[in-house]
Amino acid sequence: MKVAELIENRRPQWEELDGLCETLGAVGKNEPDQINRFSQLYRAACADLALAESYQLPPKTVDYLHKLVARSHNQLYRSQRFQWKHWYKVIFEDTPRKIFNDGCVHFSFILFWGFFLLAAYLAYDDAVWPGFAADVLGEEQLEGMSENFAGFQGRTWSQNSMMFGFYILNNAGIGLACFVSMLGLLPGLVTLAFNAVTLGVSFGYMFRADAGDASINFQNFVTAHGPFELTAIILSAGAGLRIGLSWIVTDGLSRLDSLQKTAVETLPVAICATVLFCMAALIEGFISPTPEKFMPWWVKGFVAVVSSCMMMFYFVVLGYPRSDEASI
Amino acid sequence: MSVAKTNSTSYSTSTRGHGLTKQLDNQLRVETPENISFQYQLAGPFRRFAAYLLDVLISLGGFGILVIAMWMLIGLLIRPFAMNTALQPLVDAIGGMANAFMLVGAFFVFWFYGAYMETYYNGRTFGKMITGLRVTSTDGSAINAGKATLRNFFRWLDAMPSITPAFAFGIADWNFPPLPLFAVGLVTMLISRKYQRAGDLVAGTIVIVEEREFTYSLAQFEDARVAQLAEHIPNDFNVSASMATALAEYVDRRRFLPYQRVAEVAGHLGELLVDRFDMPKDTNHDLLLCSLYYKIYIDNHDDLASSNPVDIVLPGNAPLQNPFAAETVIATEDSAAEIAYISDIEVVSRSEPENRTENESEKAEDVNP
Repeated sequence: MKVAELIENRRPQWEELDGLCETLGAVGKNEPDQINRFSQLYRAACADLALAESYQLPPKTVDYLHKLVARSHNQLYRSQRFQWKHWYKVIFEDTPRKIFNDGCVHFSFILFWGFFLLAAYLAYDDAVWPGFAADVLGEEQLEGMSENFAGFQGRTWSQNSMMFGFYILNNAGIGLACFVSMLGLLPGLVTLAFNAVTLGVSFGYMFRADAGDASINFQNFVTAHGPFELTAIILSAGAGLRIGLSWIVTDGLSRLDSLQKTAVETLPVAICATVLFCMAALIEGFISPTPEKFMPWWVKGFVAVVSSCMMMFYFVVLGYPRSDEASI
Repeated sequence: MSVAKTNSTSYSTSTRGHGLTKQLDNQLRVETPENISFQYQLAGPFRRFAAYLLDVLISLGGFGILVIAMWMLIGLLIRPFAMNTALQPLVDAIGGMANAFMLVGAFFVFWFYGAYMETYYNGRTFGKMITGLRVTSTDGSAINAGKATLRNFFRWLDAMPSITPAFAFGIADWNFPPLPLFAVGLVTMLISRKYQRAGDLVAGTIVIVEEREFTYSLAQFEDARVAQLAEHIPNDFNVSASMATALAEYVDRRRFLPYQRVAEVAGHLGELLVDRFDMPKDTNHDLLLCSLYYKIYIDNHDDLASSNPVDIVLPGNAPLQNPFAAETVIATEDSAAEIAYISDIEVVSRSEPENRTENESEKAEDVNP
């Protein structure tokens, strides 16, 4: 058969397949007979392309077939949608165990709390390093912070909800940025240390005995959401650190393969951190700013204890290595 | 060009399943579970940036419209009715959350728009749909939720560094958000072989161009001499696959070249073929190549008898006048091109149905005079 005839014979099928790519790509249920027809036509087009050389098809036709088969291939092998059963296992079984055993999370935990406590101590006790707090944050910002908290009278409902939105946008954004920038290791570690020192100085400074009202209001404000927020930043950094290390310590894989493998494994940890940030924002937006007279300090303390217990349950009880895992 | 591509990438022998990929220039060859390999065209930075800009416009614009619509619904329609009723505190409480809705929405649009779209629309965001792009895994298989999320998280890194216009232009009180420069993304795309930005490298994805090609048919010749000369080409002349490809490329392109260029290009092969077929020296090379194309791709040997050969004696005993001779170029360039150049050649494409029917009827006449 001559090429011209062959092309004329195949043309209706190719055009039908092209049309089906369009209709099957549209949102909505697909008719079974359409799907059937599609797979038939796709196989036929695959065969045509495979035999293109022996048919001596001209290059233009071969190009057309390449594009047609590629389009149909992408239609056939679609992206997998969200599968709840699979994600239940990821969220409640795999992720906590991964976090419990993850050296990178431990490292960023130690790094964060180390810098935090050191900075807090230096800022609290002015005798050890005179003027440390002012050196780090600047005199203006320290005074501004004191004034803000000294005159803090609580917020209105609409202010509360706006701040809730802001905390999500800002804090969860910082967490994700920390996760992402850890790819280059140094920027991520600097971000983590910077946050630890800044927070530590604020805490140390505001806990000074001479801070007065500002100190009481500050303690009142930070207690409730502290556990979630501080854990979230540690998790983001730990997850990022694992990705950043993966292309340096490769375990025998190529750098790129190691990076991709680790990234997929670590993503749930970053998502977990984002969820913690959102929960922290909820508390920080609506519970933390409530003044003492409406909500005594012990209520906020109770919130902090409950949230800590929830995390302990998740990370330690769910995360503790199982015996069935050890036996494998 | 694509000739080289087709020839130099040989079909790889059977490795089932996704995972076998070969790359040449911006073409990526993928082998599918059907045991067939095809090519993807990888998308470069500029087309992808256009898609990204469209996405920013569409996602922010769409979100803005949603916010305004909700504001109008609650503020202008519901609130007046709820005034001074028991519902007023509730409506006011919802109205008080408007800012929260905007900020939380902005967070999700910024970090999750791309991931959501690429997961549910098979690797495409709105911007990619418009520019004809699609995200797939590096091995050509479809993207999944995890990969889509990763590559969109890491866009933050690709957008670095960002400059504040206040800093860049020295205007201190210009309150404008920082502008991302996308330098990290551009550099990683230029370094990586498959135009992958950092997010693509981490997630193991590529972005491909998915365009529809409309023309795939053979060229049709209206000049009767093409078919007539084709009959003088010996039937035992074996055309190699690469020569057939080259001929097809030539016939597809010759329409776009000036006459002199056509003569020059055709000469390389034409001179050899004229010698080989013992044709008169003055045979038009362009015509000869078209005839050879016709013989390979279109003409059926069985139809030989039905056409009417021109009275010509070949070889050796050449006639006084060769009907296939190249017209002597005497006149100006323009008119020369008109004379010597087979201008009435048309490529039938799907988008031009009238031409097709016309040509087909002509073809039918040729076969059955």
